[in-house]
Amino acid sequence: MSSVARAGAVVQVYFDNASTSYPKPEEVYRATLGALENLGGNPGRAGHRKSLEAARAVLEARETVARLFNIEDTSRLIFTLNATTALNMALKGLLSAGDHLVTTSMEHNSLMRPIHGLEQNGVEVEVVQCDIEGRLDPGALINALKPRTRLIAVIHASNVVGTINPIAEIGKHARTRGIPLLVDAAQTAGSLPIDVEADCVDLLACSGHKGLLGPQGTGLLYIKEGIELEPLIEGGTGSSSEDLAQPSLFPDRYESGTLNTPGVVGLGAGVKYILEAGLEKIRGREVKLTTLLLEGLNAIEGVEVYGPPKAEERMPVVSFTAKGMDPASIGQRLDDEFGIMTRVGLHCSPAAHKTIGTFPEGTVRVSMGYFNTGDEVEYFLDSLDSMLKR
Amino acid sequence: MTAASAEIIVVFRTTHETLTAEKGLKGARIRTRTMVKPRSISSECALALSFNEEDRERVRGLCEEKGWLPVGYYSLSEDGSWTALEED
Repeated sequence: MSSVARAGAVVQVYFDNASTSYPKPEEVYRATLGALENLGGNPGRAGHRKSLEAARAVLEARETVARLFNIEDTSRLIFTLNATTALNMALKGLLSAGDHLVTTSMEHNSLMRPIHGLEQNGVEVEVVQCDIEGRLDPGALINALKPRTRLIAVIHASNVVGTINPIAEIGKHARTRGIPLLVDAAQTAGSLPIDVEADCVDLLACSGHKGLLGPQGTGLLYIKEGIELEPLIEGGTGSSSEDLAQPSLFPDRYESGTLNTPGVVGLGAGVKYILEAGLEKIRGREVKLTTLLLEGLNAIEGVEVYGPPKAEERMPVVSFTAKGMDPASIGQRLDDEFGIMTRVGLHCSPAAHKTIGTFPEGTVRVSMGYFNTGDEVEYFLDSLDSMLKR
Repeated sequence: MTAASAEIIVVFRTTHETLTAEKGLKGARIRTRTMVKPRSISSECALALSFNEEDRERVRGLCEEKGWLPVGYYSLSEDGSWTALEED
């Protein structure tokens, strides 16, 4: 029996970090609450001290987040509500009827749904099939390009099986051909190094509340210089108020309406924590936990694990099924009987489940984060094993 | 601001640019005050930074060095209006 089960207290093991990370670092709680309690003003909307303090805190957060991704012009880092908003801004701001888009069969609905809508409006969409472990062949993606291809959109890592795509390799091909690359980094930001310059990323979308350890209601979109997006949302920016036209300057053009200032400040604190801890350390811990989990799952009779066999090839996101059992039932019993929180079903990614052969039943997904422990993994494996033997 | 020194304001295009410059000027130990931009000055941004005239060359040098792009520099005229400094 693991030390988690021996502890005596009510056991709670959070294995749903691919949805949203929990817990957050203490610094994030303090910064978010501190912003609510002390900043108070609306950033960029007045010249009084509370407004200025809020705007300075937003600037600080923007600079911190930009540092993580090597974004030189911090004004081109836009704060959004989440990765979905960022992806919608990029896709709908760039594409119009007659354009051709190339993407993959492992994408989340945050991308698949807006491109489905765009397809209804005359955008041609080509989905490159990945293999059964979720791997993308960059050559197949390049072969799918046409003279009319206006955008390549690729998930950095699957939210179902964690398979990592080689964005730097794709980025170099895309840059050579003059086609912008949009990367959905919802599952990788805060764990894997992402350098928008070295990786040739033109548009980077990600959540703030997953690996970046910020509060929910935060996300970001980086827009490389030279990329023109029509704004999805227009309105008050605190600038050029006399002009009815949406401002042309960054970040105002894409940040109409009051920002989630406490969330943004918390996000800044999350990224500061990551920068201080170091990506190598974070990734190292995640690989260790994933190795332990994969070895344990593979040793349980009747369990089928999906995705790449090696932890180094994936994020700490592992999907499995158990012979003869509904994934929903497994997830429910893990929570009810053992206090282990996983996510079951299709994970908003039906295309990915079709790719790995688990549609429409779905899988049980275990997604770990920096604050999970080896003891928790062992407790989960013991619990699952005992449950399946009953 | 010292009583003996005239006040200059520098205006940028956005709040982001203004506060980036504010942080940089403070980091260089240049006394600056962030204020609401006077109505008579045309810019997309609602804010301006004021500083002592004696620091004008240092402010200009930092703007060049850091790649900040001021819309313009202004000084207060005797009639209370803000006048663009033409050489800027």
